[in-house]
Amino acid sequence: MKKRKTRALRGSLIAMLVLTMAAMSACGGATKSGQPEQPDTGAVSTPANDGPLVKYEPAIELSAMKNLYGDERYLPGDDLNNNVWTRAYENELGIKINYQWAVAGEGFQQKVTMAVASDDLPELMTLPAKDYFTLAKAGKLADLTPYFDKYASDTLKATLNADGGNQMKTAYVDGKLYGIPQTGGFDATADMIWIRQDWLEKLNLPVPKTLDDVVKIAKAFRNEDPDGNGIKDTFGIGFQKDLVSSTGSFEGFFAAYHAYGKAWIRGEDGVISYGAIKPGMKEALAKLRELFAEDLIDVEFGVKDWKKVGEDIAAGKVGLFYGREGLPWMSAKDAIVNNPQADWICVPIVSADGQPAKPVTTVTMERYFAVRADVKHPEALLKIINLFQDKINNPKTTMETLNTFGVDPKSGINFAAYAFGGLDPSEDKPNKYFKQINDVLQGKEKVENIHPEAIRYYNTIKNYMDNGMDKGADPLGWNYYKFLGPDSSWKVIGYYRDNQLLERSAWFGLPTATMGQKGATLDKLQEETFIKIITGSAPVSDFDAFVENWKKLGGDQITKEVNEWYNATFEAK
Amino acid sequence: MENSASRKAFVVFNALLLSFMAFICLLPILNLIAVSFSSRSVVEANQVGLWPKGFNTSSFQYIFANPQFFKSLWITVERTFLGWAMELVLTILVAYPLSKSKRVFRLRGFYVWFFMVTMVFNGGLIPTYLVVNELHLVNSVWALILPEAVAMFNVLLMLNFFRTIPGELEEAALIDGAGWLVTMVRVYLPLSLPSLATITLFILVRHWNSWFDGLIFMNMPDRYPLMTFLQTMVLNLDLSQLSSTALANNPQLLEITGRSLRSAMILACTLPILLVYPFLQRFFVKGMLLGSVKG
Repeated sequence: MKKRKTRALRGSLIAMLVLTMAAMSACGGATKSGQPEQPDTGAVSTPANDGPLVKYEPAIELSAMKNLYGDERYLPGDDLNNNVWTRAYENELGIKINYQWAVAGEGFQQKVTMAVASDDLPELMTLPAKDYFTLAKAGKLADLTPYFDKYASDTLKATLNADGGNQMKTAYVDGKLYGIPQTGGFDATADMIWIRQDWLEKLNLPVPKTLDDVVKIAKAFRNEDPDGNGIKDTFGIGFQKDLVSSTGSFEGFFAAYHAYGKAWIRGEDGVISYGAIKPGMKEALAKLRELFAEDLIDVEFGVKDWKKVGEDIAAGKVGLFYGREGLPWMSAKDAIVNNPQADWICVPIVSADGQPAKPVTTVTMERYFAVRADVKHPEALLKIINLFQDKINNPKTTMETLNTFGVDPKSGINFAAYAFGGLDPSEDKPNKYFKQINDVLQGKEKVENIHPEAIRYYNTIKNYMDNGMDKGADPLGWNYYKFLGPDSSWKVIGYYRDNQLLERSAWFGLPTATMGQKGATLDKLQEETFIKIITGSAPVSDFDAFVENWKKLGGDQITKEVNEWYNATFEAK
Repeated sequence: MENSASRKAFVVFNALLLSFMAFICLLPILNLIAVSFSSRSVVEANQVGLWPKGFNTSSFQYIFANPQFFKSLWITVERTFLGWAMELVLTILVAYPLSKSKRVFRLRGFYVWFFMVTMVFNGGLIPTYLVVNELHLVNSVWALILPEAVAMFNVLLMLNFFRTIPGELEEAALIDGAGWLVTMVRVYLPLSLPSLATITLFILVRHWNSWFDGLIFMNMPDRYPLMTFLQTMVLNLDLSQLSSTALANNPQLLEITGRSLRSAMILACTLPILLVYPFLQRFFVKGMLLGSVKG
């Protein structure tokens, strides 16, 4: 009798426990005790001449969140909530920013998910693209459409328009603007060919003009001992396992056949199709298979990522590869430091036929800056972003302002990282600086007239050139010289631009519904098929089967969605 | 038999095999040390083996010049010590009653179930965060300690160890007039030093090494424990994520994305906890109960 009683008691206690736990986890969302009341900012009078940088009197206070680089350092006494930018917001705009939380890297997405789940959003937000659209559709974000024209400064408008306004257009949800995108640069993702100039000279080879030239150079680099150490330890051409990436990329090679590994290409007829199923891809793969069979490609390329290829480049084992404009900052520079005899040139990609090869470019829409729906002054966001534009990107800005609000030359601290909504005209900036610097070098322009940031780079480059271009003694000078100097990677991009050779990927938005579900499978199918064909473990004809499978397994549906996205974003307005 | 030839061969072979395996385990750490003292470009060319090339200490200078390193170190020491003290007391208090039979402790069955549920199920990330948030623990060091203050695995370990202690000792103590608490403190705990040392080690290592809770429960990077700090430094600063304009603007970033700095970070963050092992070694003694019960 007693035993039964205890058992019943135990049973009910366990049931209670389970119920309590269920209730606790279920109530989480509902028990939020209401947002803390807004300080009553209704009393703030909006002056009649209110504009992009007009100060609030009295000051208003806004909570915010921030994603960080991960290596923030501060002047003594400063921190995230008290630094040159927060003080500027308070003194110049009458806005007191109060960062509730800040986090670097992948933790950022985690924290945003937490904030959304607990409905504990700050007033000013930096949102990952996916959360931006979710919150905008849920009505949690303030509609900025009525404020944008009036409050966005001319510099901000120019910055957002640097790419023709394409990235800005993605921010609209059902015709309304809920946030300002963090814009990136398409041009910087174009592939070019990087070659060891000293090897070319040693083997008496010309700069490549066609794909056949590239193959010839690759053969010589593999077989004729370009580094002169008597060992056959150099590779013909450097590739890595992923289809898109920075160093050892395939995109530039595919482009020789007018096909693309991961890009969406809009045809003359206005229809967008996937670059990897274009007919040229089959030839490109057949050619790569040939190169692999001739031992010009590292047999281990299928397991090497771009960092591993970078190690081979830095170690002087690779002297020819496709890569982006940033190589002077990466492996190419390490190769110089390890061996000052090494010299790199970069040249435009080449074509396999008479048609010019067009490198593909893309951006990723990562973040949007937005305001919570219940904020009384949503235009404050635009004012805050304006201030950054005014200090940093304004053509009239001074070196002093730049040293105070940008990178401090003494401590090396990058104050710009503490600004909220720091936007760069990424599309235009290096292009413009390249032009300005080289105009000054050629005597067409006076150094005082160019942007102060460009003056800094100009000084480094000039100093490097005046000191006899000694790579070993001044690798950083070489670095800037190859980046923006007269013989630099941005010269190649300028060439692409002037000749309309850049093929912008038509799609760069949030993954579509089917992409989210099946994208990973399709990517895997593509990568496996391609690597098998290149390494010779599958016949080239497998490519046709791949195209069929790709279409059947969701590719057709994705293509349809991509076209719909494009038309809704760019054609409707 | 002790001195037979085959026995000797076995001992020699055994020693060789174990030394070899220990050496293999040591290799990555030696490489890490060599890399952390080497110059950036040599490391990026993957040419550093077990001995530094281009010896320099700039990576360590960089780390120790960052005040956040010491702030984070202090938070980790704080959480490790507080967490250890709290968890040890709670674990003993949970494990001791549960080691008794049902005759002595009538609700034992219920409590075993209660704790078993926590072992099998957990609230999941977001509910856990909500609970911590609603308790206003976010940003406090207690958010790193309280959510995992009783680890059921350690309780089971203690519980089973308590059971191996002969019941006669407890009977003797009770007959001599000791209560349950006194029996636990004066008889059981002194005999349980090896298992207390074991769970101490588990707790210290877990607190030292956990980084995810720091990321979730701390709002500002200046409150991060050491491993969260390490994680943001080692994983987030990646050249591929930095645009070349950002690098041109701030070339110092180049230095900190190098592998030698990361290796130095890993070394500086893990070394303190490695030093704990030798000090706990002496508690791992067997045979303490030998001769306590006769007949």
